[in-house]
Amino acid sequence: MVADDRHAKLPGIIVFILADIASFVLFFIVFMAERAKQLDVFVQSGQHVNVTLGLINTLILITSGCLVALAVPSARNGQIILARRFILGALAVGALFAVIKGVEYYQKIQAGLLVDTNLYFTFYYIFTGLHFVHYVVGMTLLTLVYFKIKHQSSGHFLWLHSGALYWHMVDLLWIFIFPLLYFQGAR
Amino acid sequence: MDRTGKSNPYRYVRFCAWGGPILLVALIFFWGILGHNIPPYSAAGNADEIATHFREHTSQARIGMIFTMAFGVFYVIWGLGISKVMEAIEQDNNVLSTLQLWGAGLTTIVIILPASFWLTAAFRPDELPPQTIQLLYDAGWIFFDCAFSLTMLQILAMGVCFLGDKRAQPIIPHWVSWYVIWVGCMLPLLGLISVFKDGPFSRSGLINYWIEFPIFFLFMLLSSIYVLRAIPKLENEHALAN
Repeated sequence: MVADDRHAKLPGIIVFILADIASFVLFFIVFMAERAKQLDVFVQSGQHVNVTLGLINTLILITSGCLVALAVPSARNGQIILARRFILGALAVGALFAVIKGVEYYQKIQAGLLVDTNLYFTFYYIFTGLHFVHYVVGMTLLTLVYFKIKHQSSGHFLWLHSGALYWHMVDLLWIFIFPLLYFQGAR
Repeated sequence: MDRTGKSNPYRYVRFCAWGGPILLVALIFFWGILGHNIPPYSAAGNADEIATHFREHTSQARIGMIFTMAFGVFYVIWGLGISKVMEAIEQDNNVLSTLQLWGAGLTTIVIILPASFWLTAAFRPDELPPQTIQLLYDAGWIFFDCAFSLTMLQILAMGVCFLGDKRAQPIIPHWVSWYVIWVGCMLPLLGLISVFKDGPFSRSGLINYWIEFPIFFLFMLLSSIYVLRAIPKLENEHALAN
């Protein structure tokens, strides 16, 4: 690790991020191909998802992503306290995503809409479940970044840069998952 | 730097690292081609189709699976080679290299045990009802794919350790480590073959076969190449330290 990594080249995590995005793009293509085969099932099932909650979660992730984006230049300029506050804010806003996702899953399960209900709900649970795993990893990463910055650990800027890139990927994936799954019911 | 106290800590390590490519070639030929696993029979197909295959290609299936079982041991040999390189990176303790070796050792079982199910299906296929042959075939595939956590353990321990290399020029490039971690993160999707009989997440589907297997084989190939490249660098380090 270089002593001053503020000007280091792009973190290696970018390989993981690109590969991960590529796999999701593939999942989306598969989803669209399967949708074309069972259009009615997908359109009817899409009417059972809560667009409002999906939209709120989109706004939550975008807000959280903006806060992380603000933390990066703050840390680069040596404003460590401000950077920590932005990360803390991103974590606090980001935590709401899990609450809303939990409400959504609860509503689905109560309505008897489970992973084996039909192919649409299979995709719904797989996509949102995979995204949720990414989200949990991202929240953990941001928490680690917060403490790395707090203690000024070696390579803390690289951690912040990598964490921010990862968190933006979590945003980006959701921005595609949201219309793909939630607007199926719209005609 | 000689933290082992041994005069030549890298003796036999090249052979171990070659275990990966040797196994890869053997798997493609014996498991893939002779075992008729490129691609496997669909879980949505009927039992007669699988039974007919084992009855008409009994010798081919037997040879394929016996050699798959025989070559399977190369996975743990390969894992030991990787562990030796990891030990040269580890700073504080050998937890990650040990986890990697355990993961590789257990993955060896994931290669050998399903092959024994498929070999059993080829043992007396004319006397078994088609549903029994299908059961053995399914059981083999379910163990093969759904025991992903064992391989995931190996892969993630490996990727995390390589990323922790503090050298100015890491022994294993960080992009390789991130690829390795990504492959490890993709493996849990294999668990979905226990739910889907057709479609992209089934055992012969686009994602769980045509994507998962090539990325895993590429992981084996890339890791072997970079571990083999790492050995002379580590030998030089060892020579300079002594």
